[in-house]
Amino acid sequence: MNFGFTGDQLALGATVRDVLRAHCPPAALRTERRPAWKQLAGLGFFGLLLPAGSGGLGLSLADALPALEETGRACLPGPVVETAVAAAYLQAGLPGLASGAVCVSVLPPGQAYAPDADLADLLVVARAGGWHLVRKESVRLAARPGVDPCRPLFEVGFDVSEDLGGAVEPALLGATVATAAQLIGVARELLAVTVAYARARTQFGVAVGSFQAVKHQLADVAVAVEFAAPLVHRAALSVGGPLWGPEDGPVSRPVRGLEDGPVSRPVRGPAGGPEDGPVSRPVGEPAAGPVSGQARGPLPSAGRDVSAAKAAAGEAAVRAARVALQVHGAIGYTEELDLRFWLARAWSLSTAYGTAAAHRERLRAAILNGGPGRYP
Amino acid sequence: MNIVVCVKQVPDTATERKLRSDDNTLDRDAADGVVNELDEYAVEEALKLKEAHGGEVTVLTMGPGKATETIRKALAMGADKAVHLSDDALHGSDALSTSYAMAQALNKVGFDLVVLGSESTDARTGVLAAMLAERLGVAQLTLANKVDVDGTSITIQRITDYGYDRVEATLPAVVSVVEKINEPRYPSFKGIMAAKKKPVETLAIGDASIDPSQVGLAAAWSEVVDFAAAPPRAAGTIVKDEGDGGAKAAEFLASKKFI
Repeated sequence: MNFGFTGDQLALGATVRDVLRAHCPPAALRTERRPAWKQLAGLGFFGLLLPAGSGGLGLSLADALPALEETGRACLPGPVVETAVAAAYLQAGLPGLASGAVCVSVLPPGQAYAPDADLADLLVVARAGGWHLVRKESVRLAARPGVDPCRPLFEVGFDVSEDLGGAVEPALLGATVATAAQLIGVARELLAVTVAYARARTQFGVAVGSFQAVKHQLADVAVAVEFAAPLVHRAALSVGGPLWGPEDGPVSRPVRGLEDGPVSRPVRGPAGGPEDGPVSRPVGEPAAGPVSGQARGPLPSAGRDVSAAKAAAGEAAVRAARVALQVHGAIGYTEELDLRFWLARAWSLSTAYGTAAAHRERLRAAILNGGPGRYP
Repeated sequence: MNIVVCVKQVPDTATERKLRSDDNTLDRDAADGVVNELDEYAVEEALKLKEAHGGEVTVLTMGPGKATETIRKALAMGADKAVHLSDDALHGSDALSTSYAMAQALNKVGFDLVVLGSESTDARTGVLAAMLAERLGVAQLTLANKVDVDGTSITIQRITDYGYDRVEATLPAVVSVVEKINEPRYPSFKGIMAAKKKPVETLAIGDASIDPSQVGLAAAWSEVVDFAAAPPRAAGTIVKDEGDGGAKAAEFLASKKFI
């Protein structure tokens, strides 16, 4: 079985990379709120996961992974994951979604503030155990301080909202995987930039990269990234693409995972016997490869796979950021060096949709089947 | 209108390009292959002409097996089908024999208009368009930064040192384009997904009635006898100004006969 990406999946990624190189250069991060969004929308980026009836391509999450990774590599601002991924699971029939005319922000449970809510036409908010869909007209936003200058945070208030019911779990899993993919892209870019710097910067007459104290750290980052990336790929396969009903509306296929409390209701792995909840696939059936245009719901192991991916990707990116800063030295802290955008993105995305610690806790609970507590 | 675009896969200009030590030809495996940049403008212009006048755009490339990546890209941009001229016997062909092989393939494929980039970033001979036109016996319209087709007549603006010439001809014709002509589109995601379903015909030299004695390294009219890496740039002369900087600078310029 070939676990590599197909030519098409890589071509989607390469195209996004070309577009972002041209239209989202580091200079644009300083001056524009949403650079390259128009060009990406023109290509069909925001319709990747949408059904053909909504103007999309009907691809699975795994198909879109290389493209999502590129958005991380370029440090693309704006609610990319929420609009291109989460919205496709939640509101696939929404007019204007495929064309990029509608922008979506998500405030997941456990997070205080919504990122990029100022740009959002629609907000999906987790509050008081329920999920709310809030339109731009009825939302009150208050800017709150955040670490990432290109991903501003907002406190969200509203009086009027629509109830989203229970259809949000796959969306949350999808958005978490997409964020993990972005983190891989961020980490790869941080590593590339730092390696280039270590080659160019000289001390004692040689490049600083020739010192073991420097190159071993960079090697550790490379290992962390290469080990995290396959977990993200696995998680994308487990989550699958959005499911569409007869009217192209999303179909609720609850899976236990992020939605539930961390310990009380663990996710069962494929080996854990038949699930007691409604699950779209028989347990133990092998995961399908990334098949274009073939939508299916999350596998029973989705929650566990997603947590493993997000924890590993977040930790790899944070490590990449730390080493990047260390190797750059004082210049790494400066306002003028573009590095700070990627540092901030690594920090902000590593806590989005659950910190590494929270996902490790879920993973632990899933593996131990909700068994003994933290300190047995 | 039946438009054929000739594209070439070249080593990425961002990487170091190498020659092979065994036969002094370009080492195509040493670097990533990309579409020759000017050819993307040619594809774009062909697609624009098709959108304005109807017809079909066929991509023609001559190159080793991995040149299919380049074909894919052109098909993803919107070309309808592709022809891949690929045969080990073609390895090492110079411009003259390449033009012969391409002309034979074009005669087999059929065309009203052939569009190509004005030169490739690897060989940079810039002569293929002229040679093709001569071999095919059709009009040659090179270095175009604007192309207009009206029925069977074609008019281009041919860039020159002093501005441009208007050149008119009757189809069929060969046009080579420069980078000022347009802004090549990115392949859309729909185009990328559709590209693999488009037909790609692979031709060996026998299929295109190419005489093997006229192509390949042995038939090349030009021969690379030897090559060496460019010598590193020598350090410049630094004049420290101790009140006599101007005089020393003048002395240096005089020694080089600038003043």
